[in-house]
Amino acid sequence: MYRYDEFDESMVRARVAEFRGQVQRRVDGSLTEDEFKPLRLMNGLYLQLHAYMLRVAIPYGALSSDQMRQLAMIAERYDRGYGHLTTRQNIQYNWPKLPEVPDILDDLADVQMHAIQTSGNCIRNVTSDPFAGVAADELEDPRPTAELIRQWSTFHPEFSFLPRKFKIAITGSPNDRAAVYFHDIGLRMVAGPDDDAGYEVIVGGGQGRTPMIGKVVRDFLPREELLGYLEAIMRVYNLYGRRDNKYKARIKILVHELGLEAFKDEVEAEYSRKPDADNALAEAELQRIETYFAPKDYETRPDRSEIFEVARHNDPAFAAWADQNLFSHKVEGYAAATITIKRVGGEPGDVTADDMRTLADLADRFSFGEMRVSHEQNIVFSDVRKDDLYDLWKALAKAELGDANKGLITDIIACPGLDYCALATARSIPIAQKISTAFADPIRQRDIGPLSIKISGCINACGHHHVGHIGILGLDKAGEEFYQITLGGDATETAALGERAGPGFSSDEVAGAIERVVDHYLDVRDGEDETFLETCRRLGPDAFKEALYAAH
Amino acid sequence: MAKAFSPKIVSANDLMSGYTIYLGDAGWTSDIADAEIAHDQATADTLLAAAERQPEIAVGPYLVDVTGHLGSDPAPTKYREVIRVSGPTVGALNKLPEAAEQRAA
Repeated sequence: MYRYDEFDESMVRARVAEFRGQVQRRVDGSLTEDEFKPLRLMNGLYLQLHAYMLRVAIPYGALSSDQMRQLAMIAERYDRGYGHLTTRQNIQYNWPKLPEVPDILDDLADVQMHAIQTSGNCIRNVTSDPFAGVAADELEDPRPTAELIRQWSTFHPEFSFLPRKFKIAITGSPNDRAAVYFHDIGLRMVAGPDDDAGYEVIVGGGQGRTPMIGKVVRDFLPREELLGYLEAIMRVYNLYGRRDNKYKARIKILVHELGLEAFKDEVEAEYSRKPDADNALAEAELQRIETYFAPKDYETRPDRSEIFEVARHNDPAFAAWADQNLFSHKVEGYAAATITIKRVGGEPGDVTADDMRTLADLADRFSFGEMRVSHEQNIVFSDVRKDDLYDLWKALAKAELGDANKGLITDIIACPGLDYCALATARSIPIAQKISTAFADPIRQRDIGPLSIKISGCINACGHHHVGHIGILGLDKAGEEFYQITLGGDATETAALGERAGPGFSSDEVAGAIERVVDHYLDVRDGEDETFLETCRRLGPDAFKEALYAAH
Repeated sequence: MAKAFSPKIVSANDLMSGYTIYLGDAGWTSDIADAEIAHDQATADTLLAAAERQPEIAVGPYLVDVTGHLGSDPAPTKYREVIRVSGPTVGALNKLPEAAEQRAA
C-alpha cells in the first residue's frame, strides 16, 4: 500500500488545524453559514436531512486493517456505531456532530486518512478495480497510476474550482470492473503498437440526469504522457465547461455539445503546448510510487489446494460461497475473496463497528492486513492462500458475513436515498431490503445467476441505476414515492444504458414487479447459461414489459 | 379564486448536531408538536424572518407545509418532511435523535 510521506502528513495536519479554526469561527458567529458551507464541503462535511454527514476518502478503495480499526473506533466514539460504504469506494458517517468533526479528522490523520476533496467541484477520489494488482486477467496494476493521479489532483490550484465535480476511474484489465465508461475520465491500461505501456483515454461518461457513455479521445497514450494529457483535458473543460447551469456543467455535456472531434481537437491543441520536460518527472514519480505496490511476499505454492478441494466437497455452504465469491488471482495458490455487505433484509453497504473490527482481524490473519472497498459496496480480501479459504469463510460465516451472493440478485447497490439524503426524492434502502428479502432463497438466487440491481433515490444516480441490469429510480409523484424500472444497463466494457420499461410503481409494488421480470427471464432464457443481461439483449427490454405490467 | 393557504411551520437543522429542529413559540424545539403554526402568509413570513435571525442555532430555515388546525399537532404534507420528523425508516442503529440538546429553549 502507498504510505504518506512527511509532506502528505504535514499537509493533512495543517488542513485539520485550519478546519478546526473554521468550525470555531462558525460556532462563535464570526463566519456566516454562507461563508462556512464551502469550507466544510471542502472537508467532506455535508448537511443532510437529519444530521451532518462526513465522507471519508479511501483512495481507490484500499484500506489497511489498522485504518479499518480506526474507522470502527470513530463510528463508535463519534457516530452511531456504523459507517456506510459508498459507490465511489469511500465511507460515510451519518451522524457526526459539528464540534467533533475536527477531532474525527485528527483521528483519521493518525492513520493517514482524510476527507479532502470528497465534495466540491474538484477532482474526487480516483476509483479502480477492487482486484487491482492481483487479478489474473490484468494487463497491468492500475494502482500506481491511481495514486499518481491522486497526488497530482490533490490541492491542484488550477483544478480546485472546476465547473462541476470531476471523477476519474482506471482499470488495468480488459474486463472492466471500474465502470470506466461512466466517469468524467476513464482510463484503460493498454499495450501500444510496440507493446509499450499506456492508456486508452475515455472522456465524457457519466450518469445523473443526463446519462452518457464515455467516448474514446485517445486510443493510445504513452504512460509517461499521462499527466500532461490529463492536464490538457482539464484545461479545456475548465475553460469551456458551462458554469451558468449546474445541470449542464459536467464534462459529458461539453463533449456532447462540442462534438467528439471538436473536443479532441481542443485537447490536442492544448496538449501540443505542453513542454515535454514534465514527462520525465511524472515517470520518475510513477516509478517511486510503484515501489509501494510491489508484489506481496507470496509463498510458492501449488495452484491446487487439497484443503480447499476437500472442504468444498464436504461443505455445500462453503462450496456455494467459493463458487460465487472468489476471484482468480495472478499468483498460483492464492485467491481474492469478496465479502458481501449485503445481508438479506439489510442495508447495502452499512458496516457496523463490530463488522469493521472483524474484517480488520481477518485481514490480518488471512490477507496481509489489507482490504479494498468495492464500488459495489462490498469488501475484497485480495490475497488469501487457497489453503486458508475455508478457515476464512468459517470465521466470516460466524460473523454473518459469509453470504454467497457476490454478483447475484441480492448483491444490490443502493444509494442512501431519502432516509438520509437531502437531495433524494424517494427511499432506496427499503426497496433493496424488500427485494433481497423476496429473493432470500440462496438456491433461487444461484438459479437466476448473475444479475445486478442498482437503486438510486433520485436522478443524480448515486446508486448507478442507469447501468444496473435492472435499474430502479425513485422519484416523487405528487408527494408519494414512486419507482421507474430500467432494463439492460451494463457498467462493464460492453457498456449500455438501461432502457425505461414503462410507467413506474409504488414502493409496495416494486419487489413484485422485479419478481415478475425475473420469473419471465427464467421462462424465456436460452438455457441456464444465458444470463439475464444476455436474454435482455437477445429479446430486447420490450420483451419484459408484458410480464412487468401483468396484473398491475 | 386564490388557492387556500396551506398552514406552515419553520424547520431547520441544528447548527451543532445537524438534527432537525422546529421553531416554536418558546424557541427552537426538536418536537414538531411544539412548532408554531402559521395560518397565514404574513405570520409565516414573520416566523421565517425570526428564524433567519438566529444563525447561531439554526442552519437553512425554511417553511414546511403542514396539515394542522388550531389546537392540533402539525403534520407535514410531504413525505420528505415526514421522514425528517421520524428519522430514517431503516437501520436498527438509527434511534430517533435525542432532543436536540434542549439547547433550543
